[in-house]
Amino acid sequence: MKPSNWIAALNERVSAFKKETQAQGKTFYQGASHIDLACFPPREHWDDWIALEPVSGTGKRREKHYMLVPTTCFNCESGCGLLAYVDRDNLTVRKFEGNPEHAGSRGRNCAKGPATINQITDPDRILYPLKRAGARGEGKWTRVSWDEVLDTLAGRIRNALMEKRHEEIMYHVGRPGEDGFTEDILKIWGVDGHNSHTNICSSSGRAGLQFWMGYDRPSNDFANAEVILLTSAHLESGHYFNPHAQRIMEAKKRGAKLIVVDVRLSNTATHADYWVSPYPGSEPAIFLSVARHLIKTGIYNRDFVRRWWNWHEYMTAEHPDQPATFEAFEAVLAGLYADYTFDYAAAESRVPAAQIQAVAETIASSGTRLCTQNWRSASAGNLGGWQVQRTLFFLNALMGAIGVPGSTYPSGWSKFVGKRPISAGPPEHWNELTFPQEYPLGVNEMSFLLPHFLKEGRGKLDTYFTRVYNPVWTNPGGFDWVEALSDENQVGMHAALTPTWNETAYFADFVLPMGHSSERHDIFSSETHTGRWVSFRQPVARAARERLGENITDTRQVNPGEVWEENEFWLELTWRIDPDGSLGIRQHVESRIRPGERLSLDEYYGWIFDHSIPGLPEAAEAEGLRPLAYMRRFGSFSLGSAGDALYDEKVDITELEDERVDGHGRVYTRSEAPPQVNGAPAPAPEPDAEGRRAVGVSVDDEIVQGFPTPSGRLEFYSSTLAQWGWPEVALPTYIKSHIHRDKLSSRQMPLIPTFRLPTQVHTRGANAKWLNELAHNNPVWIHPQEASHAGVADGQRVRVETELGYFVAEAWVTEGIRPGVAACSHHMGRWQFTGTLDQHQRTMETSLQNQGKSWSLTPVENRQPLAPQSGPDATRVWWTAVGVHQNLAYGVHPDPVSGQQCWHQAVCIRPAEASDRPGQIHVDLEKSDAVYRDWLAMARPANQVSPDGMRRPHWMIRPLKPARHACRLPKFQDTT
Amino acid sequence: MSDSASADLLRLLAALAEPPTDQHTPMATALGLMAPASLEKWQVAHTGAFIEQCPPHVSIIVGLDGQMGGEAADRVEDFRRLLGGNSSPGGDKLPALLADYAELVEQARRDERARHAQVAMLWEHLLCWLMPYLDSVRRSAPPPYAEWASLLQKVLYLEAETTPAPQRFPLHLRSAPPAADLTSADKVEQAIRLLLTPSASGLVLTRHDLAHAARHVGGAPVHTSRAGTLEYLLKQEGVSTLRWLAQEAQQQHLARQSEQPQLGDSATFWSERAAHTAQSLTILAMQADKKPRHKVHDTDKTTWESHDHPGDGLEETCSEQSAG
Repeated sequence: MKPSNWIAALNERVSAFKKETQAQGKTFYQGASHIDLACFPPREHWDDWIALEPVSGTGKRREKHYMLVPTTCFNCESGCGLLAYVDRDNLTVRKFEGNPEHAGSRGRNCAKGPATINQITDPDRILYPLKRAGARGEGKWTRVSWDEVLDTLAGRIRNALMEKRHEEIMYHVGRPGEDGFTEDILKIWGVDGHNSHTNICSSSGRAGLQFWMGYDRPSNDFANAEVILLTSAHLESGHYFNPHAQRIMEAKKRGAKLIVVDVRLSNTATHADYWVSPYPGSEPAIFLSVARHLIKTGIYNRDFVRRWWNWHEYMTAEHPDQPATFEAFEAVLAGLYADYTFDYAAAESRVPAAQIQAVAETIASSGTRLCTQNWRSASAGNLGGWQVQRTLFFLNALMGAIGVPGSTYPSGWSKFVGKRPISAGPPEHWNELTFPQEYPLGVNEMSFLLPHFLKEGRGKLDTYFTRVYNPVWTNPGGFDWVEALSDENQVGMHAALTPTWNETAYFADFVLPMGHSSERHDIFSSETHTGRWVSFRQPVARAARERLGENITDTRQVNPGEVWEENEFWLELTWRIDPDGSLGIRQHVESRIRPGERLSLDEYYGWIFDHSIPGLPEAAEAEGLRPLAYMRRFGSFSLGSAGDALYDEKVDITELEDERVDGHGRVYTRSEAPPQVNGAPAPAPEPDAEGRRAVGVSVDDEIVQGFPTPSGRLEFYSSTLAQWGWPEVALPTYIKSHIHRDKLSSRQMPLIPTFRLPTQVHTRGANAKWLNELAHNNPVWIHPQEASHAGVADGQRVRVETELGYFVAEAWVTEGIRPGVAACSHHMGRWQFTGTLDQHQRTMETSLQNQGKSWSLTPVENRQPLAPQSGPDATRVWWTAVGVHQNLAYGVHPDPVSGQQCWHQAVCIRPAEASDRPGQIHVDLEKSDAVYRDWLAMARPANQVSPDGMRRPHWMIRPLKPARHACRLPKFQDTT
Repeated sequence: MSDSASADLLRLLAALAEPPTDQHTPMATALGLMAPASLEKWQVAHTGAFIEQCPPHVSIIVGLDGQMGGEAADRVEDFRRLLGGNSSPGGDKLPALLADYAELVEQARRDERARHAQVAMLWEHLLCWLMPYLDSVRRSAPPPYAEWASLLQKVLYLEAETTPAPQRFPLHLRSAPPAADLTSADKVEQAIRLLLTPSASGLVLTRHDLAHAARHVGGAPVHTSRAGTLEYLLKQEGVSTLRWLAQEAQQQHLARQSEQPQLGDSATFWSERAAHTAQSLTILAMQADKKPRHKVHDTDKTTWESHDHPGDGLEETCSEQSAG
């Protein structure tokens, strides 16, 4: 008998025995295995987990007892689960590992999670509230009490509200890492003061999706995909990359094909079956050629297109002379993209036509299991970058690869945000500093234009909060921010809420120490995959002490120094803004359990977990716990999948009342909307003229859910774009970038500044030694061909000339980038001023100088990262490079449609001059103003294009959307 | 059709080595093994196999001194902790390891991490010691455990064929003591200790083996520890015992050598050590054979004077080699 036969026979016999045993009601096998392959401490041991740890120098090990307390990572927007190992001897955190209970990260973390221990133990972290002592930026501080801070800020805000200066209160957030708390606070204050970083990040990516399907972000089912198409270095550094990367690798191991469109040979590209390295900005030409292939060969999912695209609306609006039939549309469709041949795409992208064809054929083979992703990348780099995402998703729409296994899902299906006990109405004001009329289709706040708006006198800020955000360093034109933040007439009071020192905090009036991931409360959910989860960030020392029976009422009781958490800070600040309740504010943060007292976080989160997360109370009961205790113990709750193809689900008959179906199949009803269970951001299609709400769409004589777009369908044709001044780009199309070859001089080349270093954390990583050890430099990538032409050798200093000035960096001559393109990661080049503080973060010591509009940043000590001068760390900082803060030398490039900063730069690269120091930067702010005006001139303001008197399409998602009347343009407000 | 054992098959093989219950007979039947007629007979067989003859501990086979516990057991424990398991006394026993391995085999079908762990466990904690051990069970254990050992060996050979070995040599074997150099042992006790440390000598010697040796050399049956038996035999029938041991070592060398195609470096490790031991024993036997009968300098003069006393010859041979 061949081996495979005898073993198979034996296996079969054992299997039969097992069935027979179990049929008799007996246990086949008692389970002697000791393995729980979760690879993590079983949760029943989290109260007292015993680890064997080496005793230094003895070769022996000893038992160490830990209490394992879950929290959520705060170092990016993935929200991965962490387990803090709290030493039971002294209740301090010794290390962080993954939380196996977390459905998104599944216990796995990137380097940023465990490096939290660096951040919480950093000897140079901010431990006490500081108040500016000298001039802004002078670097003189005095320690003050939280009471002084709170009373000062509360007084200013109260005055502003009473004097109807609501627009002068602004909260500017980097990555929120929480869902809704702070927006609720701003609603209580009644201010449209939310400002975010999104328009320097993902606005174009969001726009490209929102104009297609209403939702503005993708949720990827990578694990079940057959073909994965990434327009980014997503595998190692994209948004949600840890949860995504592990699922992409699962798919690859299963045999899925990975296509990576990336100018650089990134770590993602190295894993690809096809690495497509295009000339930057030409990505839409490639995607449209793939679309043409799918259409021309008839491979596209014809029935999906017929049922779900708004082709009828398109034909009616744009081809009224033709019958509005699907067959007529197909003929038009073929003609629309006929010119996008592989040869055309190759000419634009410089990618061989044969490779593009191979990619197209691979995509054609995917069926509905095509999963695509573009977060920032090309969308964030180029003028018209939102069409990168729109043309990419075009491929999903053609294949029917939307919301079905292995495809791209809408974000709102995979993210869950529960109701909260704080519930104020929307603001009654519209803030033109964040949503100016020039950008009616801007997806998020025009945050990076703020200094220009202030300089132009469009407004001023009384009280400005930066919260874990560093616009001086992160945004383009950082010197404009320095000027604005230094001017007390433009920014009356600046409070920087931050766990670590940053370049913006130097220009603050108050620097307020906020906690890291193990020192604060937040609830968070991300669309990491098709399952929905809610994660709880918590101060782990507080949770640990409470497990031991202590009663902690304020997180400062357990945090180092006087480090606080924002949520208690905001509640207390709100409480003090309205001490007598006369402004109608105080009651929103008053305890329901103990009237007269301020709402506690236990009450706040207890209410949410009791009332807002379906299934959580039952899961908690099964463990014998209250829901809050369950979340404190396990840190995360999985709600499971919302389902597939929800757009095809029938509308419940009870929702149909006096319904009306418009000419394109959009269905409206007079029935009340059912109570909203999931508060994840979602668009709000407008009601019909008679006030019926949009409820679904009629497809093949059935009323189904459809998509939350104006038409209720996937919008191949965006009536929003067409009606709001951009009819020429209403279909998926190719907009030539501002760095298209035709627009550059012979000396210039495009520079890609949008990519990350996988282990870095934007502005949060300066005090994370482990992360800096892993990545601490951002050299300029340059192909040997260009290097030879420019006379630049590997490692040589180069001067990179931009439209505002120049920066000096190190060259990395590599074939890992396509010829004719340069690149420089935006993650490094952190700096601080000489003599400001005794800080030893791994940043560059610099001096900042200006003469009129001419600004420069000069490293004082040549590229020496400041590091501890004593202690074990002093000898362990072996690296010297800190990189260059290139963003200072970049002008503002707002895309006229999405509002996104178009990051890619046209630069000249030449050898540095003898006196140039790495990290040195020089900028002319007059040029910055000119660049701003040039790009502003491309805009099509709402007061010229609005079809309905609104400031922006009301259906589109907007953070903190004001009351409807405030959304009208001023000249239309009196008529409402 | 699967080319390797199912998780359930492995579980039954593990369960059969656990203390017998009334489920053992149907389990043995499912595995195609003859079953003892009663639970009591099962218990006798199990005691004979795993308590009297072949204690199923990793640490005994690969540990530094052939004893239970120590660093070898810690390594097993560490591995299990790494996999999220709990520590337990005697956790380095074969049934527990097999059960864990079965769990990994099952999980490996849907979890790449489990697959990785399965490979590591197979090569690091099973194949590196089980073949010499299972051979000893085949030689020494009563039915059905001798057959059980044969079946388990067959299953593991298949596992080895279908699971490529990691590049690194198993840590248990990397951490093993140096090969036993019997010719430089100072004392008989030391030489015996080396012989009974499998990872040093390359040999697994059971009570049954030594009883067989006693019969072979014409010595009296001894009911004491293996070390005591060996010492007695060496004193009684020194040269013959050394020759028997050399022959046994040679056989075990050949058995391990024949496994090299499947087990690679692990088999080489055992094969080389057994060969080295066989060679040393042969040399010692030859030297002892050539020694004139002489008085010894210990107190047992009467015994020595009246008997051929090759054990002392061994002691002196060892000392000479050591000095040289």
